[in-house]
Amino acid sequence: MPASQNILEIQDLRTFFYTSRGVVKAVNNVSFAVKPGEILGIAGESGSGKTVVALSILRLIPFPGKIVSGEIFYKGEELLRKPPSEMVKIRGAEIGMIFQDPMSSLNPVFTIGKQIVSAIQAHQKVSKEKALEEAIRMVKAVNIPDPERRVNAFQHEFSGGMKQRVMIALALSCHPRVLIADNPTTALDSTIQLQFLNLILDLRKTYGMTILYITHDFGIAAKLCDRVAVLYAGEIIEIGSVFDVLKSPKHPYTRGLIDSYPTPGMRQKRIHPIEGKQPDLAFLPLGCRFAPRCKLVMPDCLAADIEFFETGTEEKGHGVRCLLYKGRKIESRKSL
Amino acid sequence: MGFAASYTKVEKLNPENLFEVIDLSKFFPVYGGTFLKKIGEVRAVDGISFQIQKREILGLVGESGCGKSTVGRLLLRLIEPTTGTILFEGQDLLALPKQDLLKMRKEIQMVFQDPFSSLNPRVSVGQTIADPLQSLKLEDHQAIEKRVREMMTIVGLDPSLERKYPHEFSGGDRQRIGIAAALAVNPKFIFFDEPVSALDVSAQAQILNLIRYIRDELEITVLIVAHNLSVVEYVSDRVAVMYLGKIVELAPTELLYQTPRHPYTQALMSAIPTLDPEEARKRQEIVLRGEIPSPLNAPSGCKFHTRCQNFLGEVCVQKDPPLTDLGNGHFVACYLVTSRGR
Amino acid sequence: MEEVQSKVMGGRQGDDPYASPRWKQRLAKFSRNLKGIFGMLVIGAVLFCAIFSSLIAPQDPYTQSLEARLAPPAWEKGGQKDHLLGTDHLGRDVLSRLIYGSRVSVIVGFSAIFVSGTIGVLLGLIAGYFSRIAGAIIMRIVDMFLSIPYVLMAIAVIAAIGTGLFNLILVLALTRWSHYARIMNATVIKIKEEEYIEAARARGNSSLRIMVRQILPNAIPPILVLATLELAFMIIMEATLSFLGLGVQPPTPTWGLMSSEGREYITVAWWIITFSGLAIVFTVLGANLLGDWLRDILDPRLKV
Repeated sequence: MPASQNILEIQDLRTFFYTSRGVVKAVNNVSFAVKPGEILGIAGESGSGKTVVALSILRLIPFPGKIVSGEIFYKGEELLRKPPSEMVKIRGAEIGMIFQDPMSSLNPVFTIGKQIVSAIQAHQKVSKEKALEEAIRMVKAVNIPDPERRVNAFQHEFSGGMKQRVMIALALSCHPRVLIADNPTTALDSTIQLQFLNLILDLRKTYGMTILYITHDFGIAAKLCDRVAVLYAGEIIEIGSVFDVLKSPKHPYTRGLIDSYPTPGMRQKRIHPIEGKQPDLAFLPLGCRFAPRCKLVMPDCLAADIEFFETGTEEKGHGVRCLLYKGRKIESRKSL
Repeated sequence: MGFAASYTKVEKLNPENLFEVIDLSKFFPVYGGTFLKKIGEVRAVDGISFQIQKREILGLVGESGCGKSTVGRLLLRLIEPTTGTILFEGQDLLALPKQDLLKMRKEIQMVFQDPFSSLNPRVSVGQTIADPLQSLKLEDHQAIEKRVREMMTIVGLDPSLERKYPHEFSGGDRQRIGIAAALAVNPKFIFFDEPVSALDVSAQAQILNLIRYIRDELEITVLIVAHNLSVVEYVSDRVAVMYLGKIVELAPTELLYQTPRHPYTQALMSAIPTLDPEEARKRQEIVLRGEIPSPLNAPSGCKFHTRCQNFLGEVCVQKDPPLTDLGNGHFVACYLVTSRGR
Repeated sequence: MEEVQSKVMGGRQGDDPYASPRWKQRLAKFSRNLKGIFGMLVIGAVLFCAIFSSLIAPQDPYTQSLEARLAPPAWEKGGQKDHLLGTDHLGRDVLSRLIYGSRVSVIVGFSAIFVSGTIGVLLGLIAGYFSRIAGAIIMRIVDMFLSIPYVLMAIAVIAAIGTGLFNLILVLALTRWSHYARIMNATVIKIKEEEYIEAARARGNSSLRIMVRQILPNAIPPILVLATLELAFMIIMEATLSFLGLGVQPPTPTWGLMSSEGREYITVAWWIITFSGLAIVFTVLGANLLGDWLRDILDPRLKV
């Protein structure tokens, strides 16, 4: 039985897409756990599978995708075996999600107030007036000025940053325990992004929410997350506390990625980008997915799929999927 | 016009400058109401002046609505300016007749932001790269073939892929195709409009190194526009910061990043994400209040005064601060900075 | 993404795609391709008949025979093996006239599409690219043509220039070009704003070069789809006009004329109008399905 202290536990998740080109293994053996109240970052480049992980948790994988195997435990209950009627109750009210592009996630023909109200009423039996009060309270909580008037506005009357805040208000209105955020700041300016990230930290403090934050920017992970999992080609290749992973990265990919960031003071030196490209997820070779691009590759790396090894302590795990750290194999998923 | 005295007079007609921009403005009228009358205007670029020296990489940063993309397009004359002067190699660009304008396109090129929409999906990549050579009637068929392959090699693409179509390439490679097309005519100047914003970190790094190569080895002058300050710092020699159509600070890169003077620049620097989690939690952040004002209703006087953490008072609301020389090539438009002295 | 969002916020039960049966989706994909196959078969058969009429028609379509007039189809009482589908009021073999009739439909159809398409595409391209002035003028003319009922226009024009195959093609082209122009105009206006067009301008392309080399290849797919659907229109219009005596003149066999002639004898010889009518129906159906299928294929969002 999974440990009761984890609010979310993913074990051996595999989500494949059956396309005409072949079977695209978007998520291939992903396992991790999230403690209540923590912010876990899922970091990776595009195509690494991070959004698919999020959609798998909520069982929103579109055709031709299919969750092939694995288990997802939310508060101890297994989600993949639940009937659709129960999932409907979980989505929004227990596990909420905010998306990358606010323009296509908000309905342009309804006021934002109406959208929040209908979301509230979908999960609770409350009157329209009560729901509207709650909606105004949420809009206020995300620091949108003049909330009583703004609930009657349409999405095009808001700027990008405000639209994203409306999305948070929408997600929060059903008081979920867990919030999944899929790259919500991609389209935002840096000063607006800063406001947004600070808002997320405040909301975590106020509501004690658990947050699964998906991002391709390590800088955001550094500011926001307690722990971070790095994804490559559908697998987690490193996971640990954000201090460990970003300050002393173990996996060659993580190291290479961190080195590719132009950071202040880099002008005199040269960035060394990682050579090559990500593998085609429909034609994955045996062995380490990163091997073709890795400067430290060894013959064993291509022989068989690589397992997860523990390089940290029992309380503060730092898992790495790399033969360079062959030693203590990670048995229990609980520590991930 | 106070800036003219402290800024442009000395640099005017300097042969070392590829571009000289004087008091450039672009206003877009906005129509509305039942009779579609002009109800206002967007001052995308509002009277800016600067130079681009030969073989330098000038970075232009700012957030949405600051006008940086418009500036580049004005230099290419893809958009016509409302007022102002643009000198290219000493010649008045805006006085050029139509025929000569096409010839100028050989010298002044552009690379676009979105690798997914800036390539014609029904034209092979080889043809896209050959296109500028053909439309400017520059060379014969064989020479063009050779040049296309040469360009693909320079930007790091396999020349044998020239008959493939854009959708068969990754974002980073598509960006390379766009760069190859710009390089094909051997221009003197390339304007890069947010070349890496749509790319992953690893592709981003590769393209940035390519841009440095273009200046270092091919000796092409570059204007790069981006909203990511770290990207701009890595490639640029000098950086200009824009806000709502105005240049608020301009300085050599090290100087700007070590000692930013304008409050907006300081806020921007503070918003650069650091990869060090300890620093991210410890450092003093300047979080600006409010949103970026709409360019339709730009604040009076100093456009930044509504969000400024160092707001002085009446003087900031009355008149727009001029871009003032602080020495060492560092220019700032702020009453607080100039009144305090260096 | 809005669908996903609405599911997160509490959508309807049964919306979970994870629970959707795979066989249903496979069936949908098959039926999408099925209409393409059917369309191609039908149009292919018509083309075949048109090209090889002299080889496959059992009789000469013009030969009259007073004894054999109004003979029923071979499987009925009184039918003959020589005339599988019977004969018309002048003793001419219905089947052979049907096969030869496809020629007119094909010639008129394809020529009219070609002419109207060329005019419409050219004018639509200019209207879309120079939308402020030329566009405004051209689209008003398009509106005019769109609002005139084609039968009236045909009557007016044919009264002026007379009947005949060539004149018929001209009339059909005149009535339909505006449909191409309208679609082309809308498509060009949209494509004009794409970033790769601005890029082409930055690389020194003249307006003409942009229109022909950059915009046209992207604007053609919806036009192709329209063209296949137009084939259906052409056939019906030819049939209608011939029926009214404004199209091809007798004794040339056309499906329209056969329907018109067969109408008078419908009570005593149902087969004349029935088979010519069926020929029209099937051809039109085939053309429509083909056009539908083409539209599906060329749409990059659907995975056909």
